[in-house]
Order: sequence, then C-alpha cells, then structure tokens
Amino acid sequence: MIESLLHQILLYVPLILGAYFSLSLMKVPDLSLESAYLFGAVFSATFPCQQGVTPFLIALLGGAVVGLTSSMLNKIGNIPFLLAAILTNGLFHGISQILLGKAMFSLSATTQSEFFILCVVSIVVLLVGFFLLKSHLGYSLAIYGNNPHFFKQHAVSDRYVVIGGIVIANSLAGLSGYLFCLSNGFVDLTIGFGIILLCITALVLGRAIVRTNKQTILCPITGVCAYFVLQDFLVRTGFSLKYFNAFQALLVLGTLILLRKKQSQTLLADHLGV
Amino acid sequence: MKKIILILCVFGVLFFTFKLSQSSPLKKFNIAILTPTTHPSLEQIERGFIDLIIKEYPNEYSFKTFNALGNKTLMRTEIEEIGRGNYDLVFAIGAGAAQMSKEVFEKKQLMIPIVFSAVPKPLNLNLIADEKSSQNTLTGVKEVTDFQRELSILSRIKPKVNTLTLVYDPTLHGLQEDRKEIEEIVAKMGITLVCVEVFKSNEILAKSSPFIEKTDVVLVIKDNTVVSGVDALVKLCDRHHKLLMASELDSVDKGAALVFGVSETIYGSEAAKKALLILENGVLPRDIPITSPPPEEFYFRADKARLQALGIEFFSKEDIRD
Repeated sequence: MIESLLHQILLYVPLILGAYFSLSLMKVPDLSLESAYLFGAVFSATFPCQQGVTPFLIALLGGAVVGLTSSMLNKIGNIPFLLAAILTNGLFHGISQILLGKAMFSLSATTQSEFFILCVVSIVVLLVGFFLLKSHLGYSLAIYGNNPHFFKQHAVSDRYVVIGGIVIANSLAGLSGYLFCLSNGFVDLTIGFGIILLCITALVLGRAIVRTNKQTILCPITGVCAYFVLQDFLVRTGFSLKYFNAFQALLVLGTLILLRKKQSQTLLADHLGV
Repeated sequence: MKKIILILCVFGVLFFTFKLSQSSPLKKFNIAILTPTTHPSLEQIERGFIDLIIKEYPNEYSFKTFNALGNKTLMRTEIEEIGRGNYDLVFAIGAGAAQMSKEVFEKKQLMIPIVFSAVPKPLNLNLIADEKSSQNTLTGVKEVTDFQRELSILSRIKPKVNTLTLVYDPTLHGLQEDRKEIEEIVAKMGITLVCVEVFKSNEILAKSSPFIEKTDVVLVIKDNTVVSGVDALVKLCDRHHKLLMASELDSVDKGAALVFGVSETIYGSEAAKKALLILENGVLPRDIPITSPPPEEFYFRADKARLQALGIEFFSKEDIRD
C-alpha cells in the first residue's frame, strides 16, 4: 500500500512543485499548467528520440513552451493572465492533437525500473526547487506574489520574473505529464482533466498542515501526500466516487474556511487562497 | 487538540458508515468494474455485464464499480486499489481503462484477468498480441462498425445523397480512423463528406449549424461526446428536414430517424460470457479470442422519417418491427 501510494505521489512531485511556484508563490491563476501537463507528455512521447534522458528534457521543454506562451501573452501582449492561460490552453490542446494524430498513443516500456526513475527525477526536482527558493529568483517570485507592483515601484521590470517563474512552473508540469504517461503506458488528450483542482486541493491541504509563512517545498510536498492519502482513503472506504469532485471542492472550501479564521489577514490579500 | 479529536471522530464515523454501507454477504467471486466516466452508453454496458452474470449465477458474484469521472489521476488510484483488493476479475470499459489496468497490473506483476469491452482496434493499442490469443491476461470485446454496410444501405434507402456531414469528436480513441474509413467509402460512392469536429457536447449545435443547409444526411458514429448531445442535432435536422443517422440505439428514442447499431448492453453481456468462461470454467484469458458483437441492425422512426426527409417506402413489412 505504502509503495503504491509513494509511486503515485512521486508522479506528481514535479507538477505540485510547479503549481506551488505559480499558484502559491506568484499567486497567478496559472490554468495553463493543465495544457503544459498535456503538451509536455505529448511532445515527449511523439519526439523521435526516446533514448536516455532525452524524453525527460523534451517534456520539460514542452511545458516551458506552454509557460512561455502564456506569460508572454500576459507580459508582452498585455492580456490579463487568466485570459492568457485560457487562450494558451485552447491553443496547445489543438497543437497536442495535431502532434498526437490520434486520440491515444502507446508508449514503449522503459528498460529501467520505473520506481527508480521516479525517485531520481523527484530528488533532482526537489533539490532544484529547494535551491531555487533560496535564490534571488525564488525570492523575486514570492515578492511578486505578495505585491505585484513592487518591481514597478522600484523601476525594475517584472517581465523576466513572471516569464521565468511561469516557464519553470509549466516545464515541471510538462515533466509530470510525461512521467504519468510513462507510468500508464499511453498518452491521450484527456490526461490533463482535473489537474488544476488536484493542484489547488493539494496546495490548500499543504498550507493547512504546514503552518508557515516562509516559502518552503515542504508545503507542496505535504499537500500532495495528504491529497493522495485522502484519495486512497476514500477509494478504500467505498465512498461513492460519483461525488468525488464535489467532495474535493467541499474539502478545499472547508480548509479555506478553517484557514480564514486563523489567518484572515493573509487570505484577504491572497485571491487564490493557496 | 479538541479540533484534532473532532476531525478524527468525523473521519471515524465516516469510515464506519462507509464500511457498514459496503458490508454484503460473502460471494464466490468479486468483480471490479472500471468505467472511465458517467455516460448512458457506459452504464448500459455495465448493466448488460452485471445482468447476464446475475441471471446465470444469482447470488454468487459481487460487483464493485470504480468510476473515474473522466479523471485519469483518479482512475490510476482506483486501479491501484483494485490491485490491492481481493478481486477475481476486472471488467474494464473503454480503451483508457483497459490500457491503464494492463500497464499497472503488468508492472506490479499481478495476474488478475482483465476483460475489456467497447475498445476499438485493441491491436493498435498494444493491448493484445493477437486477436485469437492475447498472450497476456486480457481478453474482451472490440468495438467495430461495418461502415461499408451502413453506407451502402443508406444509399439504397436515400439514393440522392450528395453531401454527408459527419459530426464527431476526434479526441476519442478510434474515431480518426473511423473518419478515414468513411472518407474512403463515400469517395467511392461519389458523396462529398463534410467533417464537423466537436470536443464537447455543447459545441454541437454551433459547429453543425453552418453546414446543415448544404447537407443531405447528418451521420453520427459511436461517439460518446456527440451521443450525449444528439438532441441538438435532432432539433437541427427536424428544423431543416435533413436525415439524422446515428449509431447508438438510444438515439432513436431521442429523435434520430435512422439508427444503425447494436444495443450497448450486448457489449456488456458479451464481455460477461468471457468473464464466466474465466471464472467458472477456468479458461485462461489468453485462450479466449477477442470478438466483436453481432452485426448491427437498422432501426427507424416512422414518425420522424417524414420530418427528416426519409422515404419509408423502401422498407418492406418484414423490416418493420415495433
């Protein structure tokens, strides 16, 4: 049981870390994570070279392209971020469809142990995430999230902070999408459905458990663990899964209400609450 | 501290409530049914599967349905749970459920037999090695439509068809291939094919309307997205007096004048026969060939025929059943 839970959690470590950067730290409604998750998987699965680390790098690149598109639409095209993300979703869903050519695409089995691959990828991603949060860029992302006007007030362009942060977040989502497809043996156009709700639920849970105002990778990791433990608990106990989405929404709502009582000031300034 | 105790209590109560609601007398075999989402067609397949088994062996089987609600993450968790549970067989409905179950069980080296249903072209998905023998723990019922037969009968019933509009969701497995097949057939028949690609049921009306005036027949194949919103096409075809030809039998009740297909419950009952062979007779899944359901039949609605410009004089009395 623990192994299977861990297996599932490891698949989502990059995604949740990416979501933490964009949704929690930068506090932007980055719905393009969904298309980055799909496009990273599709781009990598359909890429001619499937040797070594190439597919993982290609998945990162695929996600980065999605992030670059949405952030540039926002920062250079002056389109509000939510709209930019929705447009990017539409655009990359179509591109994924063209690349895939059909609804489902089978992936060839890996020669390496899948669990080993997941462990290595997760450790690398967590280390990168840890050091990134301690870097200037990491602090800049958090500053942008707390006060988007900070950079302008200090006559510094926030363009590169936003673009950099969203590109990193989306490339991690792309990597996660590829890992998920690698694990399931196929990629299809519906793998991204429900990803945003998963990210938000996990981040809200993480924030409820890890009560800290500091930026730390502990928050998303705890959140994703709690999410899968809870999901597993519900599946095990025979909870009618017809109502799973409603339960998930209620859980987020309940946690937010609980958090609001504790940290009303923070939540008022935080439109996403994650 | 009080809150933690309160939360633990709530979870405890929930746990026992669910456990109690679940408790059922011990059965000879436990079957897990994995369905990708909530849809009338999928429910019929599930019903057909359960009904046949209960009819043959009342009170000997227990069934538990795992519905993934269109969410692949949830589907993965459910498959992991099925793998851990005490299930004798998995009935996977649709390509995604079958493929993911196969991959997860293979990686975990679980030998739980998987019977799939409504999977178009399982060979293309590497689900099986061969249709005669899967060479693994899978067997099932593939989804096929005889478009050649369907369209040749259509041309007999409605000879003056110049343009055929196909409304379909290209993101569903197998439908792109179906489209190509239809394209080739209609090209030989001298019919122009117009394809309207929809991704959600609520897009059907808006995307089909511009083409309806210039078309003679609107064709709907086995497509869960379009079938869910077929009412929109019925209204459109009624308004413009165009023939709507569907491939799902329930579409007749919804107002399609002509339907060519088999009942979805057959996909379930055919799969149930294979499940019984495995569980009751001890036959290995690899020894049970992949089959397709019996040939499709035509159904038409006399009250809608005139409205949708379909002459029923071509039908003989033998063809007409209630």
